[in-house]
Amino acid sequence: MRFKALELRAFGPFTDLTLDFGAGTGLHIIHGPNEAGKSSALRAIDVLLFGFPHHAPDAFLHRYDDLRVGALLDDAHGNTLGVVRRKGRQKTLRDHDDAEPIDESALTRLFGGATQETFDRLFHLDHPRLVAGGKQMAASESSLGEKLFAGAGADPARVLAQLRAEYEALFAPRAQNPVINAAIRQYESLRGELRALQLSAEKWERQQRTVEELRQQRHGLDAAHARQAEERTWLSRIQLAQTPLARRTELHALINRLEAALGEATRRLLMHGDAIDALRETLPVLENHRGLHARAEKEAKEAQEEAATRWNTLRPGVSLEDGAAALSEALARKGEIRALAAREEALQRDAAHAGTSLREIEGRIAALRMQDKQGEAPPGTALLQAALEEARPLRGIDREIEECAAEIHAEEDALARGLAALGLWTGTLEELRRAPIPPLESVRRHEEEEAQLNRRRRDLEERREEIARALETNRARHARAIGGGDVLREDDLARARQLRDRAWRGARQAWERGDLPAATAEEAARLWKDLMDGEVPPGDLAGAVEQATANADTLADRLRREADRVAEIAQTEREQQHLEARLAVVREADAEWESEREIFGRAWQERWQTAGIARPLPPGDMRMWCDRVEDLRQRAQTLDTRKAALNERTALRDRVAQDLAEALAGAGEVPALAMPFQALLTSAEASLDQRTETRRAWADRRATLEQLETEALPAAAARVHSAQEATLAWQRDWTSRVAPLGLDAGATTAHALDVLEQAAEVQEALQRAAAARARAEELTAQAVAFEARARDVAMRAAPELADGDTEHVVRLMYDRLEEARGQARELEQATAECTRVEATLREHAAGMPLDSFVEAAAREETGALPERMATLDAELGDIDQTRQQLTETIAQENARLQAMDGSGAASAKAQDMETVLAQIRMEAGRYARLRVAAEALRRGVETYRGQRQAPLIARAGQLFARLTPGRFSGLRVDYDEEGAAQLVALRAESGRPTPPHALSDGTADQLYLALRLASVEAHLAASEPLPFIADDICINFDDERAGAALEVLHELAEKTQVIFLTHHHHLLEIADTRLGKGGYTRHDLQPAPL
Amino acid sequence: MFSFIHAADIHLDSALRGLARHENAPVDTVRGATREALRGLVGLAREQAVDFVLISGDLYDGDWPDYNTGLFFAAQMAQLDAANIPVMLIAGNHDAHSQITRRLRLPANVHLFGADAPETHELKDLRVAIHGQSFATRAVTENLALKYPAPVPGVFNIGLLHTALDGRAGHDPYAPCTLEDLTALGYDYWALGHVHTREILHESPPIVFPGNTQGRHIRETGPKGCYLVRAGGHKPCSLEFHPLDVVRWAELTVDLTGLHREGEALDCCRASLDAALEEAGGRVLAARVVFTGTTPLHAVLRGDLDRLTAEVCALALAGGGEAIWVEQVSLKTQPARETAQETTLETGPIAELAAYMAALDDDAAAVVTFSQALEPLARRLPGELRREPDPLDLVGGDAVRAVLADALPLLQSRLQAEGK
Repeated sequence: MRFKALELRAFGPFTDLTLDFGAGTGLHIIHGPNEAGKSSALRAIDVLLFGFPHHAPDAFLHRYDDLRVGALLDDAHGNTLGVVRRKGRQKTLRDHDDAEPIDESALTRLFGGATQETFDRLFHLDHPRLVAGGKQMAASESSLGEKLFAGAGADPARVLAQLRAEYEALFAPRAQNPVINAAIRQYESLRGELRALQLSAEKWERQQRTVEELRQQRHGLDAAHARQAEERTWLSRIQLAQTPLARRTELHALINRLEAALGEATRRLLMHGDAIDALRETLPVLENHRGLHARAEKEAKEAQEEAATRWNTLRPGVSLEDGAAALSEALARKGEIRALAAREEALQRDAAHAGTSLREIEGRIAALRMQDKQGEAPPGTALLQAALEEARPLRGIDREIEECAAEIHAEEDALARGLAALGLWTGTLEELRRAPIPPLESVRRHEEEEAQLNRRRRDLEERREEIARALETNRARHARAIGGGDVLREDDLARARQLRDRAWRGARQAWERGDLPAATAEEAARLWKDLMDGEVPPGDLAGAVEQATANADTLADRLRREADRVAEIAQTEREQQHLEARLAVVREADAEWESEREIFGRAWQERWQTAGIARPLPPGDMRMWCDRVEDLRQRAQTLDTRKAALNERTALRDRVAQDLAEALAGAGEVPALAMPFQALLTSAEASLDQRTETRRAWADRRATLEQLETEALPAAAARVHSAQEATLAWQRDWTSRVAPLGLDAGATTAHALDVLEQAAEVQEALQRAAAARARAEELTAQAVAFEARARDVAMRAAPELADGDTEHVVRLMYDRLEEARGQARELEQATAECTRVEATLREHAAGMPLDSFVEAAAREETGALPERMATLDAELGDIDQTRQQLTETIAQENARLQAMDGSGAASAKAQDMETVLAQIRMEAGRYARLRVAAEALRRGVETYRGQRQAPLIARAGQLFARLTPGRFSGLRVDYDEEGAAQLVALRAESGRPTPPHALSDGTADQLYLALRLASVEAHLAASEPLPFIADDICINFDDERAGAALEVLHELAEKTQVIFLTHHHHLLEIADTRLGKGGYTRHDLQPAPL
Repeated sequence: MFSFIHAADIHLDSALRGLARHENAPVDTVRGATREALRGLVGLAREQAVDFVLISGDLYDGDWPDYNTGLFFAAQMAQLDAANIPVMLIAGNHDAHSQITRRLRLPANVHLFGADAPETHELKDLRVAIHGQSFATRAVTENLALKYPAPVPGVFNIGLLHTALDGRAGHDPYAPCTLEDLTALGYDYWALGHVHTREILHESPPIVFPGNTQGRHIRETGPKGCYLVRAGGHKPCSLEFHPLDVVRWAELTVDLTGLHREGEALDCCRASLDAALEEAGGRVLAARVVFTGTTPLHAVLRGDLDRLTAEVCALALAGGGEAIWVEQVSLKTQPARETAQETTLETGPIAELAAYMAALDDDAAAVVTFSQALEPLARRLPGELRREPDPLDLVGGDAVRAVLADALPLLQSRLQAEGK
């Protein structure tokens, strides 16, 4: 595969730059200074072939999406493939028109199966890699195989070192710290911890048995303790029961005695005890009742007498019994009488009030009628109002008119001044306004034309100056070239050669004729005369030939030697002619300009004549003059308009003032003549206000009078009437109410109320008498009822006492009852105590039937109890202590058992072991991979050396000799003491082997280059060729070796395309010298403009 | 109607394998996983108030000697006892071998079937008869089902059996029998154990492997738990699976076909991890990531397997925090540029190295020298790494050849990286 063209369509600093590599392979040197985009071009090759990297550094000028690199690629059979690469995720390879995606395989087919890695490693060499390669060559510890490997672009020594470091960090047989060693140690340690955590079934069972046995032991102790404690309790109960038992016996005897003592009569009394108690308590009440009865009877009599006395005073001659009915009727309506009495005063007040009100209203009506006697309505205001409405908006019109007139006057002055300052114009303003001045557009056009003329003028002058300068420079160059003496020309040589040829032809003809000696001085002189007149001719024709030949040769030599000078003179002379020709053109243009300028000036003047301006200023000035005229004209126009407006306003004011004056006159007022407008307006407004007020007061009075006559007067009359009616009705009621009190209609209210008061007192006395009588009767009935009850109780409780005084009987029964009650209480107390004693005993019996307990207690020997109890207490104490100790032991052993609680600690540990195991497994896999890889690489490198050594070293040796001309003659493989193969360089002069580490840096670089190129050639021999790309690899080479390197690359270019990039111009010179201009193709990259 | 739980292969306190320790690993969850699953089972039984619980063997791991495991089991059964839930249990091959089985005293609600002959245990109130026989020894090779008794008439008959049936991959062929042997007995439900993969072998009557209650390594992926069975009346049994696992194992296949960038591959992997984590429903996810497919990334990924593993672990940490434990990252991709290789062979030293290494496969003597290099490590490794079912072999011929196959891309990658 080879590049026919690389198209940097949009990439890095490039836009549509094509590097055309043409047909065939060949060496291509791409030269460009720094910043010219050499690196970008290099990346473009990578990108085209293998796609954009994820992050593209070349998208600073073009957007990511726009990045494009194209190429025309030839395959081995000369077929051309055009492709374009764009940035993107997929389908980034497109056809040459950038229209359709095409399959990557179309491209990869051209590589002959080589990968990007191969391309990068083998076919791409830059300076840093060259230097790194040189270092590998010089490294004494790397083997020959590694060096050969390195020559093909890889570094097995470093890979091996890395691998070793990595696997030794994982595992080393006798170390502690590597990952796997540490993990194995941890695993073993975890195994120990696990064993300690595991619980065996036997251990757990043993522990459980121990706890169980201890518990059994404690159960035995508990039982013994219970038995002893029970006996101790029994004895203590018997002892406590001794006293109550004795008391119980005593009480039983007492109760029997008391029951026998209680008889039949006593029981009957006790049975009716409550009734007897009640009777006894009633006795003092009865006594009190007797007193109360006497007092009530007396009170009744006294009240009756008081009533009679009062009645006689009130109504002498009428008996109380007869008047009683009327009295109570009158008293029943006592409220109504009081109410009537109270209303009398109000009625009188109402009547007086109504009368007063009526008189007042009548008075007001009379007064109003008096006021409005004339009855005429004041005159209207409509006319005046209308005139005012029109006049008010014009309130400030006098001032307005005055100011406007002043402004107009000022503007007239300003215009006059403007006209005077205008210049070029001698007429009036009005004339100026009518004058036919050219339109502004036309003036502008002229101005533009003039500017153009001026620009052309300047151009011409600049050109003339430039040519003058160039002429000066050229003259100086020419003078310098001429300065070296007389100048030889091609013509001179041609003439000398002509002379030589003719001399020779003459000599030859003479010789053929056989009269060579004859053709002598004459012939030579003729020749000389024709061609070299003035020079001394040679003596004969042979001499002429000789001299002419020498002359021509000398001239040719000189011409060749002075070629540069000759060329310079020729060039400066050509330049002189050229410049002079240019100057003539400029002069011609000058003349043309002058005539155009003349025509323009005339046209301009004509344009202004019609406006009466004979000598117009230049167009620019005239344009400004026109602007000022236009301004004056517009201002004059505005002034006219304003004058007309002023006149209109003045007329309006006069008419409105007239209207106002007339309206005022119509109302009877005569305004002063020629009053200012505002004063007239104010006077009219005042008049209007006054008239409006008068009219309003008249209307108010009319409304009041109407209201009084139609509403207030009839209402007052009605109130007077109703007051009279009410007084009559009251009189009727009063008479009927006071009649039962024995009063007639003429009685005053005060008297009637007094009589009423006295009648009430009579009635109250009668009522008190009736109440006292009723109380006396009630007391009598209660005394009778007590008697009957007492007798009934006595018949049942103590029939023997039934006859006799009731009160006495009651007292007797009560005394006997008290005695019986004493006996009964004694019996009750004894029984209660006996119950309490037996309750105590039952407690001691603790559930045993009382009788059985009493019997059992009787059987125990009381005296031995304390001693037996003491013995039992001691025994119980012993048992308690033993039991306490046992409980503690059980707790401890049980705690141990409980600690065996099914803990997950052991299984957690086992899990931890599994994770460590998994880690070991994983790391062991890694170790195996790294270890085997290292081993395989070591062996692989040796195998490669064995197979490749001979041809590679031989070819690399040739290349190395060419790259180091005169210093080294080749390479060889030597074997050291251990039999390991070693690469050595052979000195040219001595043939002495030199190990690579003894080589200078530059030479080591060249050794690497030699090996690399040999590897490339080996690859090319077997595979599809790929372009070899060398990026400034000669930086550290001296000129000699750089030249040699270029020659070697030139040779390689016969097998595959070689692209050499450099920013060193001298390399191009070296290439020119060593390869000749046709030996390579040069491509120049220019730095992008800033 | 009544309900019961059928579980098996609890393997209480057995460790989860293959999870290499690293920082941020959810160690605590993994440590108690099988116990947590059993707690879950007990909780489920109480919550659902089931009438009884069946455990079809392999309660313990055979060679696990810690009696604490038994005590924990007993404590859990005591909780069921407190809830009046009886437990019927047979010993499996692991239990027969276990010291714990022989010694442990279980609460009164637990009935362990004898090993001498099949027994029948009746729950009269429920009208249920359960027939079962424990393993007497670790390896029972006779067909136990043949001696199971005829069904008790008029009641619901359940067979409790620890069996490999007619053979199941990865399981010892203990107590072999056929489905026909079981259906022929006319029972209403067969509660089987031993096979760790959940499987309903027969619909009516149901013959069921409930699988184990907690997956313990990468071959035990997916939800693990027990069946809640509702039976009785005239309807067929209803089976409802309840997951009990707290660590969910998953093998995630990430297909890289057509992908060109490593970033895209990791995006795919991230999506896959996210989905699996979602599916694990809050459990810890123990995942193996397997990259497959034909991709140009093949060489790059194979070239640095360690870095790929680290990237995947970082993804897991970023996506799931402590919720994901990456068990392994495995690469089974194919190179994309077959055509290129067909047309021309690469030349140059790296290609020749590849050719050299390819030839090593057939060079027995060379393989031996490589295995010698690994001997010192192999000798030091803990014996547990050699146990079944996944013994680690570093020095065997095939193992070395496999390592060689991995070593080549590693070398290519590094040598090419050096060239740049």
